[in-house]
Amino acid sequence: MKISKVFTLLILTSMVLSPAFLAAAGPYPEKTIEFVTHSAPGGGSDIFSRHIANLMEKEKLVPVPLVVVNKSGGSGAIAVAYVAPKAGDSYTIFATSPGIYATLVKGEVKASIVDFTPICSLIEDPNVLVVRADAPYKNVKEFIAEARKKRKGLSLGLSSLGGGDHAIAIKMGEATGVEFNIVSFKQGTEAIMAILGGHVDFGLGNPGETAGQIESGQLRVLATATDRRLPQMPNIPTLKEEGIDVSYTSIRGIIGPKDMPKDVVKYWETAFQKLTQTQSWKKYIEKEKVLDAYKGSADFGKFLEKELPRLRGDLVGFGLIKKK
Amino acid sequence: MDVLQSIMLGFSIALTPTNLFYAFFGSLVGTVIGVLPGIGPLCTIAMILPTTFGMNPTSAMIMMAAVYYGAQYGGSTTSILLNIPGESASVMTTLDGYQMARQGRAGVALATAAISSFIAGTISVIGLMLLAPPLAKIALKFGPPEYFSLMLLGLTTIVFLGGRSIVKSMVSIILGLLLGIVGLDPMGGVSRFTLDQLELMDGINFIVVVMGVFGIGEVLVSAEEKMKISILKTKLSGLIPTLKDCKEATGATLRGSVIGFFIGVLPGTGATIASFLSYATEKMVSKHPEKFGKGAIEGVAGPEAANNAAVGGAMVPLFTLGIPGSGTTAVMMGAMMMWGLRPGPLLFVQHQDFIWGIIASMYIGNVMLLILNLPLVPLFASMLRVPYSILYPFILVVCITGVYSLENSMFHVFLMFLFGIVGYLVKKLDFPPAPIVLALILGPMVERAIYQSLTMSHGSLSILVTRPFSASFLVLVLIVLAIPVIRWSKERRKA
Repeated sequence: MKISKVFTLLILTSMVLSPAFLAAAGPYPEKTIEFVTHSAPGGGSDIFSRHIANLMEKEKLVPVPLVVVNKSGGSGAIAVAYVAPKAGDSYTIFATSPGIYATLVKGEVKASIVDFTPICSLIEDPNVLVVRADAPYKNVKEFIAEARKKRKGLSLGLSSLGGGDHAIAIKMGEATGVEFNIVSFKQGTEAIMAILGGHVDFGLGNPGETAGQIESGQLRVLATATDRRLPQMPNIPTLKEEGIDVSYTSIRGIIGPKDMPKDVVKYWETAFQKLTQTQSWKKYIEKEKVLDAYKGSADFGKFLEKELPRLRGDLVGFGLIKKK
Repeated sequence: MDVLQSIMLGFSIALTPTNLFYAFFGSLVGTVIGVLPGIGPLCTIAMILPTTFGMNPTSAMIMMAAVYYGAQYGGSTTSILLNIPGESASVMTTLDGYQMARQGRAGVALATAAISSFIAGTISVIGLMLLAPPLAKIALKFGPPEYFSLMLLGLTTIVFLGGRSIVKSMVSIILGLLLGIVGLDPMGGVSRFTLDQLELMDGINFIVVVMGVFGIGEVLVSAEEKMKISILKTKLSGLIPTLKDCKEATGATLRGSVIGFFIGVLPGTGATIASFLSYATEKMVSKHPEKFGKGAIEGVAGPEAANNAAVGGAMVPLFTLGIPGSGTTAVMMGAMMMWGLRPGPLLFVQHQDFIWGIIASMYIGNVMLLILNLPLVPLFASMLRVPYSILYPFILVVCITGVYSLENSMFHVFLMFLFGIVGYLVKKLDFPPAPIVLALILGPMVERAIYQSLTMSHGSLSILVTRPFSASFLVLVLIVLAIPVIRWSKERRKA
């Protein structure tokens, strides 16, 4: 009798200790979350992800660490190709940015938006038009007048081929009839350096990228490419106010792999929503000069459904996607 | 606040026990990862980044900076001992450092590398302290045309770096340039020769090539020869450089420091280019250029000084403009943003304690590194006594780990083995391997810069000669091209 009791006990203990049993019993999440970003350490999306991971930990919104995993390369293609096959995985989340949307519609990777589950959108990166502080044009009208003087009269320091700055420049050109001379740089910081040095005339980008130079008075903001004025810079007009009907913002958010369990999606939706209500989140928004843009899974999904075909149209228009 | 007051403030911060500890810890980690081939400061700093969140930003930055310059110290070790560069910036050190080791002068080479690194590190911190704001202004004058001409100068000098045959050097360069074509084209974003491999879209990572051609290639070549051990066993006694060595190395160290610092200031160029421009300079100013590649001490002192000085230089645009000068400083800038510091021109004004604390700690860290590295010289040199049958499998493991750690991908490991075969062939056929790597680094930069310049000028090449900096580099290109012709004609007249 005794032996069988010991035996039963052994079976019970091993059941409790076995990973399968634990997995069934414990509440989600039980292990480290892989938080994938497509940029190399120090890049925009990397900083975004690390900020989020750090804040989630500081505010104790998730019981396990979010470990940022850099899958950089091919304008996000490597990261997309890494996350897409993980269908059903509950422990991988992926920070999206406009670069990822472009990769998803370009067709170089064998994956599209249907291989992912939208979780939520978080922030909106506004774009602003910056020029050197000593540039002769003081407002958008003078800027356009200068650009009109000769063909391709003003040059843009482009930081992302096919990205937001590219789109705004082309749309501004279409709206006003001027054509800009587009000089493509490897990354945003190089473009900013070229603007500071007077090698190109203007840049378009997130005000967070140039905040240091704007504060110190080396760069000047002429306008924002947003629908409304930015709360962080109330004196700067929008392009629309200046008569150029162009606005372009970039939504950053979180997506998971395809077929992520519904309760897991709900879990992250709630966790991130809680994050956006904290004081430290508000501070982050203020400091980085971005806009709060939380949307839940369903709404973010709808946004992506509309956004991606529009983006594809843009890229075809710029000649960056060849129609097959 | 004048410089003296500022630096006193800096030392008062850097000399606190906590910050001393972080400077030491960073230097130690830097040395170790520098010694290990493939694992560089960039991915190390990225790895320690999450641990810095709870730290005081100044301490964290002191530690990161120490890892960065510490890695430049360690990088020369395997270059000299095994002909395998620890970092891309130590490729040039293989040329003469390894030859010195084969002549039984491994200890001298290692000590020279450490001492010239120390001198250069200190000079570049002084440069950072005194010249940062004016230098930043000059760096801003460098637009695409200036970069193009500077890189062209670099490409031209590579030709003369290699061994006996200029033709063979040219072949290596062209191979490197062709490898540089792989990836997305910089203007149109069209993929070139990527063979539908996503991993190739950003081009071939030069660290993979360095590890393959030098590391794996070296192992393959040595697998054939058994007797080399006995050569290297000979006298390790000469550990301390003689007075003659010092004399020869001093000029090279000083020139290397200046070149390294100024090249380091220019964003995007960095330690690697600094090291080979220094080597080329040494070979050109030397009275006996034929000694280069056969164990000339200047060939170790110059590049090692240059790659260390470049670190101080790379801090200039980071601190004064908020623009990172290299991949590693880009990660540091990301870190600063996460700590809530805004990189930019105001940093120098608003966060004096931060900036000057780091600058002061760089003096201290360099001293620590010298003390740390010199006693290690005999230890490292005795590594050559380890039989190749034990050492080489170990090298293989380290190379694989290092390359895998770049992108966490096996693709790069396989690519490295492919380049291992290239390295084997190159060595067997006596082509110089260094120009392959250098051309691979420079090629894409030259291409982008000429594209950008021509876009700026609406297609006119005159932009390259009408801008003073660009024009002076082009004149230097002509001079570099003329030197061998002049030498050749002199020799003919003699004969």
